[in-house]
Amino acid sequence: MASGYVIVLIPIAGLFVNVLVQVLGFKIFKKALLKSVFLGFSAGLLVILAPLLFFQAIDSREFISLTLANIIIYFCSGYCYFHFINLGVTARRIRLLWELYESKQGLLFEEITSRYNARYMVEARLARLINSGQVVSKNDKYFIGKPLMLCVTKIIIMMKVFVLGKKSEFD
Amino acid sequence: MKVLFIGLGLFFIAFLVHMVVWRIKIPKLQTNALLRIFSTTLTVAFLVLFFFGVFAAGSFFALRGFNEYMHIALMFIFLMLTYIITYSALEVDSPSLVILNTIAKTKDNGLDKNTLFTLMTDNLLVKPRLDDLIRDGFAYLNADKYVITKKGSLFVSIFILYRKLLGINKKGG
Repeated sequence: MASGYVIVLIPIAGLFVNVLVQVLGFKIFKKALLKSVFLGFSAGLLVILAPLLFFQAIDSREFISLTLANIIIYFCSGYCYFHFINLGVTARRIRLLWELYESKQGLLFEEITSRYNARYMVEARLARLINSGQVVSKNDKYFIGKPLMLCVTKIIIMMKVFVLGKKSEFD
Repeated sequence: MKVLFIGLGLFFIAFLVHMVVWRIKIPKLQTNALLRIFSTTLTVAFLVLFFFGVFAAGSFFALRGFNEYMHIALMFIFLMLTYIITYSALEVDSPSLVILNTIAKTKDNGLDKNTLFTLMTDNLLVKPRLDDLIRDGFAYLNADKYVITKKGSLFVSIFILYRKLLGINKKGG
């Protein structure tokens, strides 16, 4: 019975190790943010898979099914953690809230856009897309480079049409 | 097999309910609605599973202990969070993806930066997000000023603290 509770705690332990290794990897070992995320995720995954080495006495079909459940939980938790980090880096609403947080008396629309505006957003995103090779610049014009993010874009548009019945929030 | 089958099955049922509701009318507060649908599905399912445990102890759906309830809940909650996070990418147009789509449409002609700046303005990229913050209770309008609420302060301070923990001083966005 106690082993039943241990199995439930494994994905939580995996997430804890994921976060710990990611933070340490970034802060102490000075890994780039994305590399630290992969490092943390890999370390946590070892925690999830380790019981497969030790609990061989347990009915294997049930144990494999529970481990599969834990793998799904862990992948989902890793995805959520990655997006938590990503929100801090790229999300507009977080940045806008941050500006309002630092100006408790409030800000006019013009005051907000003097600190954070569309031009900044486009410049920052273009820089990221060019750095990752998704966009290339030639003769002061932009072209699609590696097609990965463009494929993701098309998939998201299809999902928008399926779930929301429209391609854009402005339709 | 129980945890895997019931956990995935419950998520699938909640997703179907969500699709049916969305076909009838898309709610104004979409994330709130998703949370309600998923949490109601889990609650109702656990009541049903409890009754199976009492009246049909030998059946597949009779859970053997509290640990199985916990395991199913954990799986369902993380699947739910994964879906809601992914859904937020559907709800709003990501500027990066709009940039990519706009460049792709020009094919071999390419796109110059000034065209992007003309298309992507503050009214398109900033104003709707401020409206979202007000709609979700993270900020409010006091005369013409946008002011953060307590809920907004609590929410953003998690991200600020995390970035301080990592030693990142630069604001994102």
